[in-house]
Amino acid sequence: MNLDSLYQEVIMDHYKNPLHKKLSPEPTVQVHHVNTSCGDEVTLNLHMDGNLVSDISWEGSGCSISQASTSVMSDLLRGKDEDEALKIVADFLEMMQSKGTKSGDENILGDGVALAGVSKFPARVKCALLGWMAFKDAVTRSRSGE
Amino acid sequence: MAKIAEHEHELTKYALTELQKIPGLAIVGPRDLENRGAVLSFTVEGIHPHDLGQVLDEYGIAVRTGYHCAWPLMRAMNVVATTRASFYIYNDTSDVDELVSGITRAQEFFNVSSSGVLR
Repeated sequence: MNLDSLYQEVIMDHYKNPLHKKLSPEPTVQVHHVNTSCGDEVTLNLHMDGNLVSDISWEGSGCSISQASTSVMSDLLRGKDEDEALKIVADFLEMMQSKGTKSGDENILGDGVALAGVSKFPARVKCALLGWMAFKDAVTRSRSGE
Repeated sequence: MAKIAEHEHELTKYALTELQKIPGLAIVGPRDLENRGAVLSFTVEGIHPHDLGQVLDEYGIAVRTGYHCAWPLMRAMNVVATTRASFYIYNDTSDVDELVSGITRAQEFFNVSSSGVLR
């Protein structure tokens, strides 16, 4: 295991210049997730237009992996139908839990495949999942009308 | 026990001096040996403790990172989390030197300039 497989250039780019990291006002749902074991946190605003994920914006603090992963997620899932978005989340989750055996489909996960290396570092998987789980939670809440 | 305490004190004194030479590094807690055991928490500007710990681990340096089960304290100290190194009987000053060089390499790896700003 080496650092370069963990900290891909794509990840460092997203970390230094995170996308959609500014909360858009009047969201359909706002969620706040904290990784209690390390202290990373994210506030995510989800805007739904019917079944369409019209906007995802966020604020948060944490390590490079959590920040980069949330940036990738917010850019990848906006504009998608909610079922399609949740399917992508499921694919990402599968890759992250693969312990390095799955490299992910770039056509589906986009820049997210750069995070495949993180799955070899068990302690860091939660960092990569923080934003994605926040999104999943937000969609679930918007469906139940909370 | 007195000898162990003395050894710890020597190392802590050396580490406090050497660590504070690193640009962007801030010691959390007292900067002298008064009320200070051989445990040092610090932050490095521009690098999250988990990223720092990951790089140090790569060089065989074990530190603890994060909240240290003291989230309210982190809030009170106005830090996101900290990196924590500790010393005991089996450590010597060369371990401190390794720690310092590991932190410097982490700053290079993450491209953090001396002002703590990501390049």
